This record gives sequence, C-alpha cells and structure tokens, in this order.
Amino acid sequence: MLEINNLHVEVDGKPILKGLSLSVPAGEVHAIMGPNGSGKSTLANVVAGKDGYEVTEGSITYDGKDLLEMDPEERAREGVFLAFQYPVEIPGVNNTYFLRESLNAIRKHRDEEEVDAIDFLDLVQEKAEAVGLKDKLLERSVNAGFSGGEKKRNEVFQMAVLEPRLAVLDETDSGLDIDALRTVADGVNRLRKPDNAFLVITHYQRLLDHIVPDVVHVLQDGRIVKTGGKELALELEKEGYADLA
Amino acid sequence: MSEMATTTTHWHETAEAGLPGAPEWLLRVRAEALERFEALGWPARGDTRYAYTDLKPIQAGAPAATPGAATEDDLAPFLSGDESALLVFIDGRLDASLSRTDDLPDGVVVRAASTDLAGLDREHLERLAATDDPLVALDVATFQDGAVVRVPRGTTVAGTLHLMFVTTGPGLRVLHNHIHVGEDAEAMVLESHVHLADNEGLTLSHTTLAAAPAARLRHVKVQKEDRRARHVATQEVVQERDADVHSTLLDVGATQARQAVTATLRGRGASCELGGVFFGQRDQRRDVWTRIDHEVPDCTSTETFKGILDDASRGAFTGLVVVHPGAHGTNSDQQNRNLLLSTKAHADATPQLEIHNDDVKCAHGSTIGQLDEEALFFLRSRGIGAQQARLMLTRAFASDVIQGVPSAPIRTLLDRYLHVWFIKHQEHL
Repeated sequence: MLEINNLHVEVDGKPILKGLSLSVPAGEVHAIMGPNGSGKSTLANVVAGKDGYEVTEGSITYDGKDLLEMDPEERAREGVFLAFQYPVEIPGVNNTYFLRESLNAIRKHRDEEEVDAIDFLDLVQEKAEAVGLKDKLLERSVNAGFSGGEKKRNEVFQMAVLEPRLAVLDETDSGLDIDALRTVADGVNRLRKPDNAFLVITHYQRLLDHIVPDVVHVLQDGRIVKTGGKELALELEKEGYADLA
Repeated sequence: MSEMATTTTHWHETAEAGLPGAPEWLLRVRAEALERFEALGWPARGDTRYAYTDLKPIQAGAPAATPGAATEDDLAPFLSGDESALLVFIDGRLDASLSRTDDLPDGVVVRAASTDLAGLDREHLERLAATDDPLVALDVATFQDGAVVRVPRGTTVAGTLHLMFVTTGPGLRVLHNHIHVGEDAEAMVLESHVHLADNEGLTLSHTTLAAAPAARLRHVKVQKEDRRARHVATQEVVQERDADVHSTLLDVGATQARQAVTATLRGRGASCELGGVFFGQRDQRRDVWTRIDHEVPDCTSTETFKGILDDASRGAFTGLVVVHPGAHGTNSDQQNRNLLLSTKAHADATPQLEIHNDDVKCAHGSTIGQLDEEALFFLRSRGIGAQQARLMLTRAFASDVIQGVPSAPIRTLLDRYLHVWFIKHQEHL
C-alpha cells in the first residue's frame, strides 16, 4: 500500500532523511522506532504533505500513485491520515463542525453521499465514546483548552470517524497515562482491517504492548537500520538504540 | 474665512435645502450647527481623530441622492427574520410602504425623523450642535432623515428593531438617528446600511445610543455599502447608572469607511461592550476610531475590534480610554487584533489610555498577524480544501465578536454576510 524508496529529505538545507526505504502492505501495522532526532516526525510530515520539507531524491507511492504529487487535502481524501504529535489548537473552529466538513470532503471525493447533521451526530457520539473523548469536548473549538491527553484522544477520535486506509500515528503515546494509552490503543485496534494499514511512530516500546505491530523498523540518522518482528521492540527497550547500526 | 471656503457647494446646498416642514427651533439649531461646523472647519492634518481617513472626497460632497425604488424581495437577504419593526430608508428617505412599525408594545416609538420633525429631541440636538467634532456638526446641519427609536421605561421589546438604510444610486445621504432606551427597558436595534445597485455615493451618518438607568441597549451596525461608495459615520453612546450597552459593528462595504464611536459612562455601574469586525480587500480603507470616557466610579468597558485585511487594503484602529478623576473601580479592557491575508495589506493599531486616578483595572493589547500555517495544514491534512480551510480560519478569527452578539438571528445574519464576503472575495482573486 505504501512504498517509500530511497527517500532523501532536507529541512532548511539540512539533510534529515538520507535514503529511507520502507514497504507497508495493506492489513499490517508497522512500527517505526528510533531515538530523538532520527527523522521520525519528518517521515510523518512528508507522508502527510506538510510544507517546508524538501524531497531531494527518492519516491513515495501510495496505492500505486505518486503521493508526493498530491496536495495534503488530496492525500487525506485518498485515505491518508496523520495523528499529530502536537495537535494544534484552533480557537473558533468547532470540533464537530470541522470534522463533518472533513468527512464530507472525503466522502464527496469517493462519490459517496454527504452525511447529514443528525446522522453525523450519532456517528460522532458513538466514536467519541469508543475513544473516551468527553462529550463536552465535541462542542468546543478544536483542541482549545484540551489537556495533552485529550488532544491525543481527539486525534484518535478523528481517525475513528474518518476511517483512513493509511494512518500514521506520530508519537501518539507520548504524555498519555496508562488508561489513556489503553483507550487509544483499543481505538486503533478496532480499526485494524485487512484493507488498511498503520504506521506507528514511537520512541518507546510501551504503546506496542497494546498495538502489537507486524513489523518493527529502527530509524537512525535518517535511514532504516534494522527491521524485525514485534520482539525487536522489546530488544530495543532493554538494550537501547546505542548498540545498533 | 468665508463660508464657501469651508463648506463646498454641495454641502452648502444640502444645508440650504433645509428640511421641509421643520419647525422654527429646528431650523435655528441646524443653522447653529452649520456655524459650529464653519468655526471648527474640516479636520486639520494632525487631528488624530481623522488621521486615517482621506477627507478630500468627503469635502467635495455630492448632490443630494434621488430616492430610487426597492421591493420587499430586494430587502429579504438583509433581514434577520425576527424583526418586530422594520423602518426602511431608500437613498436617505423614508419608504413607508416597505416599513412596518405597527406591531410594537405600547409606547414604543420607531419612526422616521421626517414624520414628525417638531417631535425631535430639541435638547439633544442643541447639545450636538455645540459638538467639537466637525462631522457631527455637519450631520446636524444637513441631515435629510433618520430613525427615531424610543423605548419607554420598563418595556422589553422582543425581536429586532431593524433600521435599514438602502442605497440604489449615487449622491449624498445624510442620516441622523436617535435611539433612546428608557429606564429598565430593553431593546435590540439593528442598523443596516446596504446597497441594491452599484453606486459611488456618500453616506454621512450619526447615531446616538442613549441608555437610561438600568436600560439594556443592544445595537448592531452593518456597513455593507457598495464597494465604490464612501461611508463616514459617528456614533455616540451615553449611559446612565447601571445601563448596559452592547454595540457591534460589521464593516464590510464601501471603498472608504470611517466609523467613530464615543461612549460616555456617566452613571455609576454602567457597562459598555463595543465589538467590531472590519474587512478590507482591493484598496479599501477602514478607519475605526473609538473613545470611551469613564466619568464616574465602578463602570466597565470592553472593546474587541478585529480587522481582516487582504490585497492592498488598509485598516486602522484607534482606541482611546479616558478614566476621569474620581472614576475609581473602573474596569476597562481593549483588544484589537488584525489578520493580514496579503503581504500588501496594512494595519495600524493605536491604543491609548489616559488614567487620572489610581484604583482602576485597565488592559489593552493589539496584534497583527497572518493565518496560522499549522492550523491551515491541519485542516488540509483532514481533507478540507485550501480555500475552504482559509475560510474556516478567517471566520474563526472573527467568531468571538460575532458570537458575542446577544441575538441568535442576528448572529446568523452576520455569519451569512461574512460567508458571502469571503466567497465573493475568493472569486475576485
């Protein structure tokens, strides 16, 4: 589903990703682990299409299409989703309203009928309950005044509503207490299907106890330096990143 | 200096034309106002009140507008839908056939000044004729018509009292509005300045909002004149003890718009909330000038003005708060935020505080910034198109002012204006 080949990315002229290759087939969960500064968030942002990242070499194809040619909104409509490491607060934009616009933009792209306000409210309530997002947060502005944990839950909630085909979770576990982590993991696990895939980016192995990956990659200095099964995460937790490469 | 040197021909003709049916005392007050205007002269360069408005096209004046015609259907898009009274002026003159004012609580008056000139508030006009603002004097000397609203003591008016000023052609419109809400009474007044046809007209307007003790006066002004027209308005708020005034401005139209608001808190415990959003595109000029006088103790004033400026438009906000000696317990907050949507747009923010006493809480702040790129990317990464995302964030920027309007139907109307502005604006890009 996602094919990254020899990806080189620079930020402000500084090379961050230096020949990263990765293949994530449909139906699988891949974890990307690595120390701070290894390029994990850069990878997430490049997949989502954020400005400021210059791809100098290599390619990313998604379902056989050139992902790098698409605007961020086109990627989202094609089923790509990024759960942000630092979700942005948007005062004045209602959480439920924006999400309905978002879902309808995606549905329209797929030639599906738009969801009306009433049906959407049912959907939103069901998903909010599933990820443990308080009802009152639905009525607020996007992330405005949310706690760190609430922001992360809100990301997973949006994912649950939009049902992406490829979800990239950028350190969604950081700052979450164990209960919140479990809820978030349950939310992800419930979405796992044979036709969608997850790229779970994390610094720690803790999240992977709850979202069990099919494959673990170790990212270091802009390259994948090791790939293995779920047991690789445990190994890293015990021995650290220092011994690799 | 001869009279003609100051008042150019058109203004002079407007004053000369007088007011048909005006009583002797009113003609005298208007003559006094004209004299006052002559004595003050056009605002000099360096008059900080007028620093951001090009007065030349206004000095030139224009021949009085010829009233055109409108139908009920024409007005439908401008209605809040919950009008308990609708007073329609076409090109500065009352249109009785489009107005309806017969379904009001006992004693509530909503009428055109022209229907009973002798019944105008003489004391009020005499006071205004002695103003130190030349444009207020000019308005008193030359107004053609305007609205009179009086809500008697203890009466709460449900729904909106809508004063609608429609333009259909070129020329000069001079309006004078006097809104008085009595003791412990309450009303929402919507003052709409809208256009039905392209015109390069000039509107000069003055509105007095007078709130008696414990009155609740809500006021919303929409300035949506033709994009080639000019709009120069003064608004004065006078508040007695415990009176609560909430006034919001949506400033969208006209090539050049100046809105001056003064508020005098002269009764203890009065509370005044002023809000506004002004939009600029192309080479539009916006000038919002406010002055709030805390004359007595324990009054509260809050100001939130937001500018959204695109293309090569310019917007200015000047806000003066004066806390007089003895006005202890004053609480005042003034915020001005500007959103620049283009590198050529320009905003000027001048907050000023004059505090003549110790025991006060005064805050002010102003910012000039762009749309948040992170927020824009977030919305796009959720499938929302770039243009739609910009619209959402622009609306969000203005939303606290719009959401602060204490009337759901008017909030909906303002949001619709905002939406239309944005869509039309995108089309021209």
